[in-house]
This record gives sequence, C-alpha cells and structure tokens, in this order.
Amino acid sequence: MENNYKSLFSEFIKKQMVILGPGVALSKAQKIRGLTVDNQGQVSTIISDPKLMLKKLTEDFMEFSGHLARESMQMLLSDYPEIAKEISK
Amino acid sequence: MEFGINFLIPNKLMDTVFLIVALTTTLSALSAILGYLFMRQKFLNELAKSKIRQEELKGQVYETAVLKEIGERIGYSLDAIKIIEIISGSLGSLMPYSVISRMTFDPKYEKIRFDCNVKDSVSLIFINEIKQKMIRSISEITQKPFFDSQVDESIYGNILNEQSKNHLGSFFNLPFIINGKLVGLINVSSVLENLYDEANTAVLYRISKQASDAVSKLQDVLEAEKSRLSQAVQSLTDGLLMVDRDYHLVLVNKKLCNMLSTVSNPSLFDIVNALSGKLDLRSSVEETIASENDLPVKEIIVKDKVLQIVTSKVLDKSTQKVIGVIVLFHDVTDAKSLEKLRQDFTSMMVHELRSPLTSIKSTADLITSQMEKIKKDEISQYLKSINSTSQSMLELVNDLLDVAKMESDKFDVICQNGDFADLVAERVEVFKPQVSSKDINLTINIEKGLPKAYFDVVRMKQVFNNLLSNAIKFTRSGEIRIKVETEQVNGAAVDILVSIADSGIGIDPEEGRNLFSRFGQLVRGRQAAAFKGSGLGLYIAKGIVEASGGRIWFSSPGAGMGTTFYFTVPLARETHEETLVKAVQGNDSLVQKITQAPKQSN
Repeated sequence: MENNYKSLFSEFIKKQMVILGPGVALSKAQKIRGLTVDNQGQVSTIISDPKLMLKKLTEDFMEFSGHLARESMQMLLSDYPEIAKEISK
Repeated sequence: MEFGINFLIPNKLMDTVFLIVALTTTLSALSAILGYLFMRQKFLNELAKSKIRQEELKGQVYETAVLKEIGERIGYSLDAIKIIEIISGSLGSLMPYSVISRMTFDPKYEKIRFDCNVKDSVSLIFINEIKQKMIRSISEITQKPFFDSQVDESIYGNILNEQSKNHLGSFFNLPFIINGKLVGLINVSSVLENLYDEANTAVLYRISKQASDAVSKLQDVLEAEKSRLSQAVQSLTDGLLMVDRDYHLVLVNKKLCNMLSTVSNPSLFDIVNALSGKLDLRSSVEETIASENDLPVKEIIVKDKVLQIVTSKVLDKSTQKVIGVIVLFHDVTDAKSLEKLRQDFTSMMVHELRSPLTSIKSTADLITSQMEKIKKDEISQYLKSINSTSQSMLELVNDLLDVAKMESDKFDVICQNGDFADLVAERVEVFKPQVSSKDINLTINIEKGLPKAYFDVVRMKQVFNNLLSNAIKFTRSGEIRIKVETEQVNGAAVDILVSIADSGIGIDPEEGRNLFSRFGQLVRGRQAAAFKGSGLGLYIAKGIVEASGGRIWFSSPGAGMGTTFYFTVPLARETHEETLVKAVQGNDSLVQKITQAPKQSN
C-alpha cells in the first residue's frame, strides 16, 4: 500500500511540475515534512501517516494552484481505488 | 639580593604560579574569542532575520500595490485578461527574469493568444521552449490537448538574438482561474538556472488567488443577477429581444420564439427570416438608436397574430451612451378581436333598438294620420303590434341592464325554497307551440320525488327560457331532451341538476371557449337565421346561476353534433344543509365538488 501512496504522490508532484514549473513545484514538495522527494519529483519515502500526507500535499499545493490541485488529486485517485477507499473511511 | 630571594622560592611553586597565570590568560583570551563569535553569530542572525523581514515587507508592499492597481484598473468590469496583463506587467519590480509571457483564451474563436515580453535578448528557440511549456501546462490543466496551430503569438520588447545559445534555465507558470475555468497563464522564464522556488514566488500565487477569488465572487453575483433577469424575461407574456449596437443578438425570450414559430434558441437570422416582409428589424434598430424620442408603435401581422412592436434604447448607466436596443412584441390579437366584437355588439344593439322603434313610430304615425279612415279592429291589430315590438325592446333593454348590474356587482337574486319541477313543467308548456312549429321531438324527464330547491323563481325562469329557446333556435329538426334530477355524491343529494340536450348545430371547441362571455354568442347568434335578441342570454344565465349558488356548463361533441347545457340549483335550505353535512362526513372531496364547476372560460 505504501508503494501505491508513493506512486500516487509522485504522479501528483510531476503533474504539478508541468502545471506550475519544476522549480516551484519541487521546492514546495520537498518542503513538506515527512516526504522525501528527489529532483525528478519521485517520492522515495513517506515517514508520516500516508493518509495525512495526502491531505497535506493536496492542501499545500492548493495554496498555489487552488482547486486545480484538488481536482488533480481526485483525478489521480480514480487510478488508485484502494487509496480512495481508504481515505473515504 | 634579589637573586638570593628568587633562589629562595622553590621551583615547584614557581611552576604552579606560572601555570595559574598562563591558564587565566588563556581562559580570558578564549572567553573573549567565544564572546566575539557569539556576538558575531547573533549579529549575523539578526542580519538574516532583518533580510527576511525586508523580503517579506517587499513582498507585502508589492502584493498591496498590485492588488490596488487591479482594483483601480479593473473595478467591476470582471476583465480577467486585464488582470493577467497587470500581474505580468508588474513582475519586473519583484524578481529577475529574461522573458515574461502570457497565454489567454479568446472564447469567440477558440484560439490562444500568446504575448511574449522579451527583456534579455534571447533566441526564438528560447521563446519556443516557453511556448511549449505553457501549452503543456494548459493541456494538463484543462485535460484537453492544445497545439501550436491554435496559438496566435505576439513577441515584443528586446530584439531576439538568433546567435544566443541560452536555453531555458528556469521558469514558473501562474495559472489564472475564474470559477473553476482557466482564463489564462503567466510564465516567467530566465536563462539562469534554479532561479525560482516556492519562497520567492509565493506572493504571486497569493495575488493571483486573491484576484481570481474576487472576480469569481463578482461573477457569481453577476450570474445570479443575470439568471434572475433572464427568468423575468423568459416569464414575460410579451416577446422580447435585445441586440447590441453592432446588431448582435444579446437575448431573446421563449415567448418570441413561440410567436414567430422559430427554433427554441434562434439566431438573429432566424428571427429576421421569420419577420421577413413584415418588419425590417435592422432598420427599426437603427432608427431607434438614431432617434432622440421613442419611435411610434408599429403593428404587424405574423402567423395570424396581430403584434405591436415597441422599440426602446438601452443606455449605459454611467455614460448614458446607447449600448443596445430592446424590441418588444406585444400580442394584441385578443384585444383586437374583443374590440371588433365590441364594435359589432354596439352596431347590433343599435340595429336591434332602432328597427322596432322605427316600426313603432311608423305604426303610430299611421294611426295618427289615418285615424278616421282606419277601422277599429285594424287599430287593435296595430296596437298589438306596437305592444309586441315594445315588449321585445323592453326585453333587450332589460338584458342590457342585467349585464350592467352584473358588471358593477349589483346583481341580486332573491331565492326561496320552491319546487323546481313545477317551474320546468310550466316553462315547457309555454314553449310547446314553438317546438311543434318545427320538426323537433321534445322529451321531459323529471325525477320522481325531486327534492325542493332554493332559487329565485323569476331569474331561474329566465335561465331556463334562455337555454330552452336556444335549443329550439339552434335545432332545425331532431330532438330536445330535458332532464331534471338530483345530483348525488356518494349516495347523498347535493343539488338539483338540470340538463337540456339538443341535436342541433353543436358548438366547436374554439367557439365554446368564449360562449359564456359577454360577446360570446355574437358569432353563434349569427349562424341562427331566426336570431333575435341581445346575444347576452348565456352571459346573464351564468350570472344568475352562479349568484344562486349553482354551476353552469355545456358539452358538445363538436359542430353539427348537438349540445347539452347543464346547470345546478341548490337544494332547499333545510334539506341542503342536512345533506351537505351528511355528505361531507362521508367524503371530503364533496366540498370541492360543490364549489367547483367544470372548467369553462368566461
């Protein structure tokens, strides 16, 4: 499951890199405590609770791209039904 | 001596003293160095904090200035593209860059406009790199593919240098979204690498978010107002359209589409086409704009409807300049028909009164001038004629008076308990000669033990006379069936139901709509060769029946297929109240039954 979260977060960050530009999106992602993100936007470790990290990641990017970040995450979640199910609990 | 004293001090003690002195000196020096380092670090920290505060302050000043400028230049115009221009134009004071670009959508042509402000002399390859990054960003945001062919570009600022080897070092995009819809994207790019990060761009995203939230809220308000206005326009009983100064259709309501039989969401061409040969819409709009005063109301006939056309200028609230024209289509077909009926009615009344008056006057003149020559029995005949003619006139005048009383709410009925069967039997006897003069078979069916009713004898005779005489009048040959019975609901008598059915000319649905109206019998009356009278009979009958607490209606399968008129008479007071209470206890819907007659238009 953790790999699923890593994959989801990586895809999300890479999308934000396209939308906002790599410098801004990466610095934003790398600043989030509990996540290790390399310079390609790949998430290698999630230290905290992944459910909380998902919320934090989305909310932090919403500061920059507003509802785009939320929509982007919702769209990606359709490819990760297990995570979608888990966070809806 | 001194030597001797020094010599006297033991070597060990000397070492200890030296050690203490050396240690003290070293410690002092160390503490001084540490103090210096500590102070230096503190100073550096303060300096760093001060720099951060300065940067924050600079960001805040910038944010305030840009938001102020947006507020001043945009006001309430909701021009999102202008906001994008302001933000992109102000960036130079905030951060280093080589090129600032913006992409905005042109909704009319589904095109993207790419404006590129070059500061550092870069190559076209650099510009193309920016364009591709922005197209990728837009495609990702909208989840729709966009291509170079959809982009109209405009590059200005510094001259491009094709020799430049610089590539896109760093960039960031600033999307501008109104109500969930992307309206534009700003791109800031530099030849230098790693120039932009979360910290130094945060202020821009804040500004963009605030401006977009403000515009979104204003748009919501505007949309709500527009929706209310649109609903009001759509619910108008008149047709309405609005065009702007450039003769573009701004709005059109459903009513106009119905009037002109166009599609539900017509183009201006559809409307002009529907009005072809009847109204030159463009000329009317141009005349309205050019004219200082309102244009006179025009009248046209479209699809058998008479429409009055009223045009009116729409002015800008602040500048008072003409921004469009509203064209109102008012359907006056019914009013015109009514007006014609009124005129026909007046002509008919004048004729109906003048003919007998002329006859009376002629007869009176004859008697006066020929008094000595006319025989006594002839005079008696003439007087009978005068009497009969004046009686007709009196009936006509009475009808007119009844109508006048009804319309001024001064029409009274004086009801009392009585036997309605007697009234029917008596009236039928009176009409028998008329019936027997035609090839009509009259049957009467009065329920045995019919309960007493509560009615105005004189007025109910008037009602019955009218319905029976109409039945005779409109039936050349065939039958007339009169039925009087108790109307029952759930086994309880609620009133007396009278029906007069004939096999005459019948009533078509169109004619039937206005049958009980003031002029409703004019058309029908004309069809009867023997028609005489005011034509107000059914209107008066309805007034009497309803004033008595009853209902009146008719049914007809159509023209040529006969007609049945029905009316109800309340049961005698005591009986009525008793049965009503009994019936209501049995069924609540009875009250509805009593108070609601079948729908007939007035």
